[in-house]
Amino acid sequence: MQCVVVYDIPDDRLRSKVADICLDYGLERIQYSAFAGSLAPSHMDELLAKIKKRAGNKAADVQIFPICTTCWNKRRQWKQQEKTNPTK
Amino acid sequence: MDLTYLIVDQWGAFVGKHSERIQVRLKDTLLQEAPLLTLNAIFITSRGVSISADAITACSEAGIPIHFIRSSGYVSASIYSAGLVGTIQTRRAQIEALSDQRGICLAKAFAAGKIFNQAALLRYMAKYRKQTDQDAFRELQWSAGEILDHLIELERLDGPNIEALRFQILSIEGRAAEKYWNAVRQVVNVPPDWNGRVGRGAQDPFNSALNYAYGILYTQVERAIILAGLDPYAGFLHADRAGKPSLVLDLIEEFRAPAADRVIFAMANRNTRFEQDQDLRLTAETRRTIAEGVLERLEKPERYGRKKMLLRHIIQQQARHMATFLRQERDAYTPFCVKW
Repeated sequence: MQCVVVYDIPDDRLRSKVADICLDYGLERIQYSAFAGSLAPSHMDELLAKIKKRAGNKAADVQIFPICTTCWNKRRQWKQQEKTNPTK
Repeated sequence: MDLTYLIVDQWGAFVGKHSERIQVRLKDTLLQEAPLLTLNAIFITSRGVSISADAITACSEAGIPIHFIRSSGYVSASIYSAGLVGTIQTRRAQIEALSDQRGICLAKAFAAGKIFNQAALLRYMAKYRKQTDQDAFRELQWSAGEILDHLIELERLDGPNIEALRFQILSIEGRAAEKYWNAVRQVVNVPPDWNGRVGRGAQDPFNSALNYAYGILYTQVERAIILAGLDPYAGFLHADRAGKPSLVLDLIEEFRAPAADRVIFAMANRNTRFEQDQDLRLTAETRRTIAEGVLERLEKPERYGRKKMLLRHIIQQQARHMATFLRQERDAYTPFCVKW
């Protein structure tokens, strides 16, 4: 199932480790602290358990939202790189 | 979940493990990356590639084989978990079967599967010419029929063990193959000076492309055989010879036409150039296209019994069926026959 994983983690080292764990599950980075991709329900639990173990007693807030295919297909996005002035 | 394959074909690339992912790096740039969770196999097809011990350990623990393939399609080495070979009951049965009817049944099934699927591929190619090219359509249908005639001859063979029949089966298979390649010449865009099918040591691009495709397929069949607990070196149709993985060559027969030939023929007919370098080896780019083509084909569903299954899973199922047949838990082994 398509999932969006977002997190809010103040600690730099833990944050980058959590990003690593997300990548391990084949998720794609859509923003600095947001990932998206396909996850089986058991993998969702496993992912959360791994992050929890890694976090120890540090502050962390991780959320996983499953999104059904129809809803996923209705998503909108807009993105651009900063435009540099060519005359400069 | 989609499984992925890593093809490492860059000179100087380094294959390592980071967290739970396999990464391919060149100096400091990350070329490719795949999580162990969705990785199916790693193919190392270039020279000058290094791989870390951690990556090998992680792969074997996760059941991901690493194959080293030369530019000719020859598989130099495959790395699997060392624990996969502990299935002695199956191995005993496999060796015993060589001297009784089970061996004959398997050898006949492999040959029959090959012949049937060659005819099926010709009919598949005929189907698309029914409207556009009536002559080619009839020609192909006729060749397919002629190839299928050999099945009757095969069926009639009888003997005490496989040793007594091997030569006859190979002869039938050879004659069917000759008709097959003659028909292929007429509908596939082969070079005009193509001298027919050559296996090992082929110098021309079309044969080299086929050989490379078989090399990729070979790794998949070998993996299925090892996972089924069978010994890749004790074959039935192909005679024992030190260092010759006869059983892999046996089981691959029924998959050559649907999994490899079809990919190469389609590429040739789309005017893909099989480029060679000055030493008559396929270029890295061509090899990659072929490998990707075959691996993609394995992810396509085919009808199998009453179900639809990915070709990759069918290969695995056939290896398992062979093992259960050898252990006499199943009465017969039927080859995989594609529907056209």
